[in-house]
Amino acid sequence: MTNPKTSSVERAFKTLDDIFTLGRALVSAISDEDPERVEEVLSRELASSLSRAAAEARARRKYGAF
Amino acid sequence: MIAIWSISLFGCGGSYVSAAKRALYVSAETLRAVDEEYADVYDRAAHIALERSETAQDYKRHMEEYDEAETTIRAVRAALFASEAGLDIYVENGERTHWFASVACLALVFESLFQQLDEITGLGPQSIAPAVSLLKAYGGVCDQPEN
Repeated sequence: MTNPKTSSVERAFKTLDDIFTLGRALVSAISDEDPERVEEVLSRELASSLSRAAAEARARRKYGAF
Repeated sequence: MIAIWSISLFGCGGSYVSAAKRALYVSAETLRAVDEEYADVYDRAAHIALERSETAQDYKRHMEEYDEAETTIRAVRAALFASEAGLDIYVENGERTHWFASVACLALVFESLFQQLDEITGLGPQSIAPAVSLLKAYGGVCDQPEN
């Protein structure tokens, strides 16, 4: 689903920003002398899972049974 | 980027195990960065869907592809944990298991994730191509069960 309120220019800038953020994380990880373990890097709850949980809580408040 | 990565992995005389550890580390960092970006995308989409949907069914329909991508991110995280556990066993058993054969499957789930994200966010697979290339560098084929 595309957000019609967001112009294509804004979307392009956001995508570029996302790619830059990803690239920075990759370069940092590649150049890191001492690789961390996966369980350390991903020890916290995923941000997208938290977003989904919060969104579904809002939907439950609006629609009741969900 | 891929060239730099390959040099950093195999060009310094490191063992395959240390290269594999780095591959998992870089993949985990990639997933963490993607997850943080995607959380914002999901949040925006959810607010719009809630505003425009009259029923819970409408809302779920609007959010379907976003939910699928979120589920895939969790699956990739689980796959990375499993791969790290497999690598630990590989090392503990004197490198006599077939851990490296499983990495092809990890590359496959990563590719699947980024194809989904490309459709939703425009964050194309090219943005994480190094992670997939790096995992594929271990070779092997992921044997998927036939339906």
